Amino acid sequence: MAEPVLSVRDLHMTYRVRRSIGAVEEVRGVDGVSFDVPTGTTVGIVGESGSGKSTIGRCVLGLTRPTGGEIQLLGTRIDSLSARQLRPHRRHMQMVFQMPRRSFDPLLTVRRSVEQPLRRLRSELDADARATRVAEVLEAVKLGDDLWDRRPGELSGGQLQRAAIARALAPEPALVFLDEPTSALDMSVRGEILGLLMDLKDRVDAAFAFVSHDLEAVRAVADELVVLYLGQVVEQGPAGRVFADPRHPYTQALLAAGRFETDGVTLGPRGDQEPASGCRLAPRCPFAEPRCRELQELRPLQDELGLARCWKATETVDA
Amino acid sequence: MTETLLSMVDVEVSIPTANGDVVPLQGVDLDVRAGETVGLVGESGSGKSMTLRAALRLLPERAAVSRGDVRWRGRSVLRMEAADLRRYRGAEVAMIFQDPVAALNPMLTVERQIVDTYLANREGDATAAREAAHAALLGLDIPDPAGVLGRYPHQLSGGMAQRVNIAMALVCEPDLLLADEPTTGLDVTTQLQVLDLLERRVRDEHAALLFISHDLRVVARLCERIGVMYAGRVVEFGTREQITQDPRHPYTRALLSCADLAPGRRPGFIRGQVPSLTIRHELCPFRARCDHVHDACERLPPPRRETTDGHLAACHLEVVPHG
Repeated sequence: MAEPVLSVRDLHMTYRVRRSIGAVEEVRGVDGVSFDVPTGTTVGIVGESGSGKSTIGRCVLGLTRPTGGEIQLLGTRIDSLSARQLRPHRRHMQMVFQMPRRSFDPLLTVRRSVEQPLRRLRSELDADARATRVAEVLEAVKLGDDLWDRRPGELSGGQLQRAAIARALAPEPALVFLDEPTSALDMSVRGEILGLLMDLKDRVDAAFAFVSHDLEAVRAVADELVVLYLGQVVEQGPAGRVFADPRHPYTQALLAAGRFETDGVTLGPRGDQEPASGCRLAPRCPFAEPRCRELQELRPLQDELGLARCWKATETVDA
Repeated sequence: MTETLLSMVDVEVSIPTANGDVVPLQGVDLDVRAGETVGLVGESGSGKSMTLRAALRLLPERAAVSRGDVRWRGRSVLRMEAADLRRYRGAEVAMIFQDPVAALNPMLTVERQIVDTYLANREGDATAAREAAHAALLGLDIPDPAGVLGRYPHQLSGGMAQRVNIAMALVCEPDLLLADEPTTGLDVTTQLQVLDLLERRVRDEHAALLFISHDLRVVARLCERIGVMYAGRVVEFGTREQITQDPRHPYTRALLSCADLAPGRRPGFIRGQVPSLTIRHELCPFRARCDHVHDACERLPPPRRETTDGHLAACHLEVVPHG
């Protein structure tokens, strides 16, 4: 099997928090997360607030240094590189942010903003080659050429997010990291961006990591799914299988809530503290038993259609 | 016939700027009757929040109601004296905001804030107020009310803070509760719990609810009657079933198709841009994006037609129901 574009192994991000004078507590924001983004696939990373999904993004992009674990981009370890050492690798990974309006320089035209990463990351290209590439990517995202010389203030949120995707694609990255790319957009625009991403998946030679709490959006574009809860992967597998047949109670509850199902699995209220040992969901889980207080590991499902961190999902054999 | 509590009649709100007026509300008509749940859906800039603010006479600086009237039980809210207005806000109408933590005072405990709200709006001493605060939290499935009462807002999770806001709004037993996207910032798994609590409490108190959201699914879950807003107007109004099963306005139909992301199918979207609110729209503001536009739409204002069963739409077409 080909080497994955991105490989995250046992990623840890621990913060030291001062609760009160003299008392320092460790908070495990990301606690042993591993996943791959293989070539040509879109991996959806879903979870609610506090799940660690944004922190993982920041670690991958080199904006934060993880406290443990390894991140490999195209086979090269990048988690411990300095900003300068990371620079040659930056052209291989690009990011699309949640708020398109905040991720553009308001004074630059769209054309200039999209050209910017080419100047920094693809210095071998001359002005003509850059102009050609800028036109290519702006056409790829179907942004009308009457908008190319406008400034961000003159574009709508949806148009700007198209430009942001073009800018991310410009240096021909191997990986595009999309952080909640549709969450700040209106319902009427969300489908436009998702449809564009579905097109680009087939046409562009990049893999995508799609981080979102909007399950319906992730479902539209993801091939593989990683479900996070309080810094841990609780389930992963092919997106079709996870959506149709979620095995972990948290995934089940998340999907039911996302679809407004009343007869689905519902969780108890969120507590203040995670349990010291065992399954982190146990205090909220309707199926919890004493055994859930023991350490729960991420194990393969019986039918090998992914992994789950729940002994009930991985041990019981269907009759 | 149930009493009409809030009645907004052709309300226009305008904000003068150096480049002419911005008109966020362009003639809103809306009734809320005692004990019913009404939802308003619309995208950002459609005027939902401004409608709530106009209802409370709590408009941003420089914005003013430039046409129409807001009535509470038949009395003009716009002409209320200060004392009446104070009674109206809080004791008769209460509001829950989108950001639950920002809506609370960070310097005061939960108990102090609920007690203060009670004392400001109701007869009764501090003991009665504390008892009411305790009871209000119990009514919202908060397992440890005494513990939560002693906390400061930063010590609460988002879901818990929004429960506190609901408790605070309901402690004065208002006749109408206004809610501005109260679950938008919450986790999906928490959102449903808070919506259900809100629905149950409003029903128990026999209060009416005016709830706004950009998410049609949320509104359809909670509200018996739904208004769809576009460019500062209510373009369609009907029961939950009428809006979701038999939408008449092309904009409502387009919104429904956007919300429904079936796997394997290309997601729907609405082409074009939201119209500018620097002009007062006489003609249908949706016509530039509408798939059913025809010559009447370019000549005449859209007629507001109401069916015998109270389903209203402002559109030249009688769109054939899909299905």
